[in-house]
Order: sequence, then C-alpha cells, then structure tokens
Amino acid sequence: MGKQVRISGCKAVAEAVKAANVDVIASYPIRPYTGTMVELARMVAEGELDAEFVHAEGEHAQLSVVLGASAAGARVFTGSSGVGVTYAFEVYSPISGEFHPVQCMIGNRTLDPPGDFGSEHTEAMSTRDQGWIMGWAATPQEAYDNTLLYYRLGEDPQVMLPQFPCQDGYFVTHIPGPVELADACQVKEFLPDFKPARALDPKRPVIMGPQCHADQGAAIELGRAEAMRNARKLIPQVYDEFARIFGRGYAPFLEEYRTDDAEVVFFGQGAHTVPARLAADQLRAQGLKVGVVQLRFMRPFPTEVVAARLSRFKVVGILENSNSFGSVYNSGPLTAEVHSALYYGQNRPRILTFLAGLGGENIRLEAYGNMARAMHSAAQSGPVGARGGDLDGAKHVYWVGFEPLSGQEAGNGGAR
Amino acid sequence: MAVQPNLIEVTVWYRGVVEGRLARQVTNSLADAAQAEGLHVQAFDNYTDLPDRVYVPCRSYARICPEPIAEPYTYVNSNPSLVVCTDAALVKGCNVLKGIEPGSTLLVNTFRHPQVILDLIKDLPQNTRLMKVATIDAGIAHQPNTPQGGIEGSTEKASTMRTAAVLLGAISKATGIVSLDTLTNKAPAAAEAISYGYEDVHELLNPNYDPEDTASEAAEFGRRLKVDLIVPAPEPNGVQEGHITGNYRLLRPVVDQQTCTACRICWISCPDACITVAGSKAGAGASGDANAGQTDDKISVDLRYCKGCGICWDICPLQCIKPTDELEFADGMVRITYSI
Repeated sequence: MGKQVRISGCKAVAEAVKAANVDVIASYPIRPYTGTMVELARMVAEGELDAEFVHAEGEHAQLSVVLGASAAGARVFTGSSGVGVTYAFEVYSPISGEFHPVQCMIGNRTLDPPGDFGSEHTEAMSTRDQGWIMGWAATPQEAYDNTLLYYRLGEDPQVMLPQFPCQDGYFVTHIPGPVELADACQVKEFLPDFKPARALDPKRPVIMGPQCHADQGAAIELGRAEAMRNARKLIPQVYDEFARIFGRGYAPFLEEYRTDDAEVVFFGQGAHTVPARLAADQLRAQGLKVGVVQLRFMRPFPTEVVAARLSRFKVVGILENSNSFGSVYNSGPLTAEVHSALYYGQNRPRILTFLAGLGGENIRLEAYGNMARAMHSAAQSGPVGARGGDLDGAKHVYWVGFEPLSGQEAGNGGAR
Repeated sequence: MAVQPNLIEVTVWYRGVVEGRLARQVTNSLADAAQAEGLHVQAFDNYTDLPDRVYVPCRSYARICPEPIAEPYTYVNSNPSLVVCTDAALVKGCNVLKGIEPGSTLLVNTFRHPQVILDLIKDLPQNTRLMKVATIDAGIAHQPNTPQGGIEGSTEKASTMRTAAVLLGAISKATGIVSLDTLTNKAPAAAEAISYGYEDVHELLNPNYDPEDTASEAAEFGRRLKVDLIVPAPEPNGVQEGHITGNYRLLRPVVDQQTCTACRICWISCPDACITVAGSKAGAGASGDANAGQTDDKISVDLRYCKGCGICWDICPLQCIKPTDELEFADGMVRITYSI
C-alpha cells in the first residue's frame, strides 16, 4: 500500500505527474491550477523529477510546446484554468487531429464575467468537441488517479488522444483531502513508457500536420471519431487493470451512491457530487429516497450506460455547473447530452436541470434538500408523456437560489 | 443554524505572505493532532484571501468533528469556536469575532495582558458570545518582506517553527481541543515550545460573556440581486472607499510636529498617497516658496489607508517620523468584515 498523505488536488496531480515520469512540462500561471506547476517546478529544481520544465509565454504557447514535444515522442503535461483554457483554444484541435496524447489538466474557474476565482465547468465544457478525453475528479484522490488513468487511456495505440482531466477550482484544487500515493512499481506496471509508433526523428524526417485538401477532411474527422469510440470501449478494461494493480478502483463510467432503492437521483460531475452524497444521507433520514450518480467521463460520453442506468429512476436532477446560453431548455451542455441519451429509452425518467454552483457559488446542504424535494414533487406527475403537449407541461430548469423550487416557499433557495 | 452541532471550526487570522507559513503550520498541525485522536479533520485556507499580499489580513482554517464533516467543500468557517490571531494588531483591523459560536475563545499572539485585547473588542456585537480571551507571547510572527512561500505555490517544506508550536500549546491549554500529549507525540522536537505555550498562556474570562446568548450568526448569503458590471469611478482626487488598507498596519507612523519642517519628502514618497499637508500656507512650500521652512503646514497620515510600510520613516531626513506599535493607540479601529 502506498503512502497516505493529506494534500490538495493540485498537489495530488503534481505527485501523479512525477509518478508518471513525464518528460516535458509547459507552464503558465493562472489560478486555481497554478499550485500544480509550482510543485512540479520545485520537483524539477530539486532533482526529484527529471523533466524539461518550459516557462511558456501564455497558454497558446503552452499547448504548442507540448504538441511539439509529444510529436517527438515525449510524455508531456500542461494545464490551465478559466480564460487560460479559452486562450489556448486554437491548439486543441491540431493536437487531437494529429493524435498526440497530450495531457492538459484543467482546474475549473469561471470565464469573464464573473471572472472570480470560483469554479464553474463552463470553460472546460466549451472545449468538449475538440476530440479530447474529458472528465472530472471529485476528490484529490480521484485527481491523482485520473492523471494516471488518462495517460494510460490516451496513449493506447488504439486511442492516441489528448486528455483534459478536470477538477473543480478551490473545492478540489485547494482543499486538502486524503490521498494514497502509488508505489513506483505499481505505476510502472499500469503505465508503461510512452513509445509512439511514429515520432519526429531528425534521421527520418516527416511532416506532421500538413495542409490538407477538402477531400481529405472527412477521413481525418472519421479517424478522430473512431479513436474516441475505441477509448469508450477500452475504459472498462483500463479501470479493471487499475483496480487490480492499485487495489482501489472506480466504476468506469458512472459512480452510483445509494441508488438501489432510489426514486430520484442527483446526476453531476466533479466536486458537487460529494456534498450531494452527504445530502442524500441526511435526506434519507427524513424519508426521501435520494441517490447520487456521478458521471466520470464527459468525453467519451457513455450514452448506453447513461440510458440504461438512469431509466431506473423516476426523476433525474442534473447538477448543471456550466452554461450553454440559448441551448435546449436554455440550460447547459450536460442537460442536452442526458436528454439525447435517454430519447430512445423505454422508461424515461423526468429530468430537472438545476443550474447551481455557477461562479463558484457554494451549494449548501439546504439547497440539495430543496432540489430533492422538487424532484419528489415532479415524481408525482407520473411518467413522461402522461401530461402531453407543451414539452410535457412541466418546468424543466431551475436557477437554484433565484427562484422557488417546486413545493418550496419563494425566497433564497439555500445556495450561497 | 449550525449544520453540524459537533463541528469545531478554528479560524487563524494572519498577515499575508509574512505569517502565512505560521498560520498553516498551526491549522495543519492542529488537524493532524485531532486526526491522531480519531477525529475527522480538514485544514485549508481562505480562497478569496489568496493570492496573499504582504501584511494583508488573511485566514487559515481547521475543522474538527467526531463524525464525517457534512459540508467539506465550503469557502469559510462560518461559526468558529476558536479564533487565533498571529499578531495583536489584527484584532484592531478586522472583526475577528464575526460568526463565533457561543462560548468561544480568542487567542492572540502578544506579550500584552488579555485585558488589553478585551478592551479592543468590547465594541463588537459578538462580544457577548466570547467566553474567554487568552494571550501568549509566541514571538514575532512576521518577518518583514521575507516571503515564506505562498500557499498557491505549495512550495513550503515542513518545519517546526517555534512560534507555531507555542501557539499550539496555548490552544491546547485554553480550549482542550487537542491534548498536550498528542501534540508533543506528533512533534517531539517541538515539545519544549509546546509546553512553554501550554504553561505560559494567560487566560481571562470575558465578564460580558452571556451564556444565554445562544444565537449563532447565519453565514452571509451571496447577493441575489442583479449585478451591474459598470460601476461608478471614484471622484477625481477621491478615495476608493471600498478598499480600506489601514488594517495591514502593524506600526503606525507618528510625526513629531516640533521637528517636522513639512518638507514633503514623505508626502511625495508615500506609495499610497495617504500623507496629507494642511496649514495656512499649505501648498506654498511645494511651489518653491523661500519661506517654506517657516510654514505652519502640518503633515498628517490618513490611517484608513496607511499600511505601515515604513517608507516615510525611512526616508525622513530629520528622522521625525517614529514607527509605533499600533496597539499603543486606542483609535484606528478598522473593523473590516469580509463576506467570504
């Protein structure tokens, strides 16, 4: 068993990057992910980690540096937060399109406005269609493990895709939690050295990323789609190997908590699923059958698993932590994905979207209680389609804290 | 309303950068010790105080609970039952009692008697919920302009600073949150300092403590109003009222008006433009008046904004600005209340 420590998510990722023996790191500071880079800089300076540490002049440069280094066969690491993630946007597609398994951590932060340091998933979610593997950690331990899992998955010859391991700013990046660090021999077994089939080599010059013609475009896009499909297939196997080697594990796509007899469930990603679990405990003591389903991968989105699992419940309450203004139901991207996944299902649960925790707002236990009661109230409407017309005649989206939830008096929804 | 009645929240107020390591050593060590006693713990820093600036009041938190902590992902300790100040001037600069639980303890690192501290907080409305004031001389906490590693960077290495150990010993005696044995077992090398803190802490019961006052303050909730991102600029030559910086100050510049010639070297050197000149001929000297030396102009310092940086007393050619411990003055209360 590895060493037990109490560290933040930022520090946990730095430890995992060291364990993964990364070759090239490109940094540029922005809260809240910065702590990872400062810790890595210290490790390199003090000889704990033998890596090239590049101080890039911005996020666009960070991603460009690791693109080149990955093309040359290096295992690479970079990261960013908030507007840094969007500043680097141009480079995301070339990295996945040329199949460089770059890892770029995201410590979530709101875009401007509000631009406060609080966590919101919007900046990461805005990159979800760039061909990168993407998912959220809810604890520092999961952040540590995701770094190893994502390298293993992304570097598989059938996949070769870059990865965004995300963690909520402050909640995971800054609040220390218990982490079990892996032994070097375990990491070596789980994550072999990165040896790509094709790497830049001065002795055998090649061009990567040449100008393409219109008739080449579709084939290139199909390649990325197939790589993502392969990643989807490989994930259960990678998680099995992880559990076998490290002696701890996760459900590969959906982590369920107290769902066996649950009528209503919270469905979300990352940090907010942790207090949701604690709220479920408290609400069950009050007689409400509440469960929690944590989505582990946004990309590849586990369509069949989501469809099958969520069909067991009467109501699914999506903890929507990012916006997609003007999208379906004028809500967020997770809402659209979940509705799409459930469209062909036989038993379709009612779906409520709770826009909560935006701008890094803290979702208090009281707010989870109000959301759960709103779900129970919606459950009384019977199955989807029973009411008919006008999108089933029900309210679908709630701004938690700004409007009364169903069955609740008007006023502050308990969010802060 | 406390979500978890058995949760003990500990808030450590400290000066940004210069006392940051100390504060984190206190909160982390306290959490470690409580964990060794079989309790559930957290230790973390106030997010909005970071990245910290030199001397700015900041907070580090510990949480200790017999059962799992129900709201692990929150920004603040809303209702602390122990408040620690790593230096005494923090008591003047901030409402350190905000949100305290009934029966709380305030521990201040100072050589002064607890009565001095008690006098400084008697105007605070939460005063009646404070059971005890304790003081301990744990040594000078701040090291001017010597950054000790920022929390954001996490570059610190574990060390056993004497000041932290003394404060931990004092916490053990004044509150019993963790036992002296646990503390010394966790850090045998610091046992002497821990014991010194335990033995030497001065405790004083607050005569205003009202055990019947069991109301605990609700956390301040975020604004539910429409936020306007276009805000008025300050008036020309006006001040930004929202950004009071006087609570950064540990030492106050005191001008010896007998010696001062109102030469204005401090006036032009002050980085925060908080030195003002007033008098019947105010402004004459600045325009090169030959009689400038005989002016009855007076130098004064705007204490709402003076950070006590020391440039004025360093630069004064007549050495007539004297740095004086802020605790020597009854005025200058800032009382900033932070919502997060």
